[in-house]
Amino acid sequence: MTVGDLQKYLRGLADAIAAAKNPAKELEEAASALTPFAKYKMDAFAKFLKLAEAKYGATGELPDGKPVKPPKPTAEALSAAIQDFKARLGRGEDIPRSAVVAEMKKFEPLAKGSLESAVKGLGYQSKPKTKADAIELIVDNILAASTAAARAQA
Amino acid sequence: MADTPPFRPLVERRTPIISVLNLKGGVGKTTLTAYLAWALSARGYRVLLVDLDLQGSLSSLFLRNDELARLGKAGALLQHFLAGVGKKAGGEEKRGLLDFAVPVPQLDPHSRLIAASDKLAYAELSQSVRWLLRVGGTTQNWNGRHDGRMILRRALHARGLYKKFDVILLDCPPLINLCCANALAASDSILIPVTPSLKALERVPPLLKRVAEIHENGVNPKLDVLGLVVNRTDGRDLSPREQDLFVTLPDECISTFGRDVYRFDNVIQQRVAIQSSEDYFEAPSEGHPLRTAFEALAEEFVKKLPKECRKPVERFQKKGKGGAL
Repeated sequence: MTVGDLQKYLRGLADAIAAAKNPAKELEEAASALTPFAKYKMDAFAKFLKLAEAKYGATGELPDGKPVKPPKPTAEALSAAIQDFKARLGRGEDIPRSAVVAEMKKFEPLAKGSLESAVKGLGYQSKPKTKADAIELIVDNILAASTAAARAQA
Repeated sequence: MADTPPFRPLVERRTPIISVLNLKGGVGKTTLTAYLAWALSARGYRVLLVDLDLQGSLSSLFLRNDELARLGKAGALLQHFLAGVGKKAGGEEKRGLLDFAVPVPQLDPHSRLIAASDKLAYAELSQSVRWLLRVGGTTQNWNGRHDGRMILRRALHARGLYKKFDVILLDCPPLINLCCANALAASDSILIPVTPSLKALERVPPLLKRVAEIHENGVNPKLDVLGLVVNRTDGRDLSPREQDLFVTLPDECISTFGRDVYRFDNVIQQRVAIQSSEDYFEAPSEGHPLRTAFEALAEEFVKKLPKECRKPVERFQKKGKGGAL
């Protein structure tokens, strides 16, 4: 069952009770308010409501229903993310390669020059051919020490 | 063990023992050992070379086949020394390692080689088994004085041997077998040849890890890493592509060894490196790029040695004053 089905039930209910009565209008308004969520399955909508309530409780903001845009990636944020990963791995935290790749992929929209600068900042002299190459080199660099330790242990 | 042969400190010995080792084959260990020995010998160093590689490549580089065959027949190769360890000499006088050292025509007249042939593998395996199973002796003997890992230490740290040389180079196999364990137990440092390739560099952290383990388990807490020598580079210096291969190495060394290791400034260029190890060694002629490259490397090598190491000049000064050699 979807929220769209729920809307139909609510409208049917509104029709069933007399038009003169206020609750019918309220049911109709409630059904209309659900339009942006019509494609949601009921269980997903219930989860969304829980999250919305939690956000309201934490921030006082009401969710506007629009998906939250991730912050625009910047060269500084990339540098910070690299250092953060290295620090965490240095403390012995077990971070899978897939997690590092996923995080670094977020910086692929950066200009090629910014990615090249990041690679240069890590000590590499040759320029990566593509942005994907740059990301791969950064991931390898982040994981080099832990990979070497694992290889030495094997 | 109480009667394990002691590691005589370098400050007392003054003759450094260096293992040339990488766990990756084909990086030029043997040829680097040979040319470095030649360059040190040309600077007046009395070099003792020990061929621990199971193929005996260093020996066949310096000695002609007929000479190697003669030494084999005479029982004068490293495998014969190994085979005699832990056995009673019978009627014959027991031979020390120095009795197996032969002059090397291409080097200083005081330099020597302890040669081996491909039959070293059998003696090595046999000695490993004898030690592991404590064959032919009491447990006490095998654990302490006859610890299978301490054969070379006992021989090379003997005063009668090290006094005759200014530097000892051990050409190791690319794996930790009994010969290699012996080299590591006896050495002050290891010298790691690498080629500028991912595969060769990947083998450096595992090697450093083994060194760390040798520290921890007490086999040789003094073992140090002299540095990495980059062999077969594109140019006289590392190209940007080659430099990039080394970017993560310091972090990798720190994660496995606790600290970074030195990388020699002088590299051996592909163009000059190196005649095939199947050829007979010939000293490179004056002005040959190979000669220039190894003279520079030997100079840097000597600078990297601890200051307590013996220098040939001391011998010459002594000789000038009429002192004994």
